[in-house]
Amino acid sequence: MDIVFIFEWLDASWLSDLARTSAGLFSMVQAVHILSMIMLCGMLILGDLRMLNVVLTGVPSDIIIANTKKWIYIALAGIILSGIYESSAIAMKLATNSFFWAKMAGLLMGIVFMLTIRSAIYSRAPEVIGSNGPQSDAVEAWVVKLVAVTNLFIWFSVAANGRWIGFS
Amino acid sequence: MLNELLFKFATWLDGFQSSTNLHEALYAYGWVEGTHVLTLTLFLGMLLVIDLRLLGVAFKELPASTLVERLDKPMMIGFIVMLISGALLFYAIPVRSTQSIWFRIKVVFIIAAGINALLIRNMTRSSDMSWDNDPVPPKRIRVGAALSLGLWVLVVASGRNMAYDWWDCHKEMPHFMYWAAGCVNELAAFE
Amino acid sequence: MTTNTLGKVAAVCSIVIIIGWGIYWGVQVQDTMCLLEAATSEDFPECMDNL
Repeated sequence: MDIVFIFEWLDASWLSDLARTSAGLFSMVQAVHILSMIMLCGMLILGDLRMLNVVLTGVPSDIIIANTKKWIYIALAGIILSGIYESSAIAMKLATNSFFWAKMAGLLMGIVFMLTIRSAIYSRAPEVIGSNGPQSDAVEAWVVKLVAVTNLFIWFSVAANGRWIGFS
Repeated sequence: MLNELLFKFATWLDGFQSSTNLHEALYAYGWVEGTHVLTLTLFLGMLLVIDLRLLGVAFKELPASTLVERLDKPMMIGFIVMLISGALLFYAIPVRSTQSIWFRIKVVFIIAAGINALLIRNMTRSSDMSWDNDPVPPKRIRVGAALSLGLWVLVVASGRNMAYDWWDCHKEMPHFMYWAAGCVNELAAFE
Repeated sequence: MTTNTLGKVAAVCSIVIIIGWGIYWGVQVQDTMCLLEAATSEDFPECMDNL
């Protein structure tokens, strides 16, 4: 499926013109992108380290995971919008950048994994991990921890690829 | 005088072979910078959770002290990694960093954030923490938390702007900017 | 889907992601480092033969 036309369209758009002409605005958008990453990964790290029983052990995991959700969605919106703005300035260069595509693949994988498997497994964490009271319907503890490690790995790769786009 | 002192210190650091090696290394500088940026998610991520609780907008079911005390360790681990990687980045390019107006602004904001953090800590320790279980803490705590978030946002933005050469010493700038950025050689040319 | 099945699906997916994505990403990083080395050095690095 050839989607280069999307990058060609972006490259010729008014957004691209704006992104290329105003360096000050561009750097502010970059800062928004980094701050959104901090919010997104920070909330995910909190949840995953909790489920690994590394931080806030004994604190009900349901409360922690539930509280992170809103901020994760806000951060994702910020990251995607600022990311589109940043991409418009170098659209054609990104179309052929392998780190960019790896980042997008990781981002998609991370979002799907977080919304499906991670969400389902964390809500069924056994008492020894979740501390949410007796659970009639729980998965094995090692599965919860494996999901946590997987999530951390995916999002680490997204952030690292993002950094390497800048180097490549 | 301070500018001359800082410039002398930076030039002395720049003289070390290891400084040049780190700057010119194929991977090392990239790894250090990558570590510095990625560790932000741990350090500021944990700080964000604490500040959101102290603002009374998230994690309201949990006592504030639980988050403040128990997220302190991962936050400080992140902070130490940030300090070390930041110091290495400075060491790799000491002269440009010292003469970067954005680096200077960043350091001022970091110091301000540190003072703010100490003030919040003193406030919480001297109070009876009767508000610990309240969903929304007292106003002075919320102000401190808002300041904390604001200052760290400015630290990140300043750090990001360091990559741009808008106000580098080799650029044409007003005299005041040469002084603010510590462009010692350019200031001497003025005299 | 029962909890037991969900647990198995989650475990399999996680292992596939860690191994599969890990290998893909590792190879990509290796290739890029090789290209970087080729671009910055005078000699032709050995790793270029494997690209």
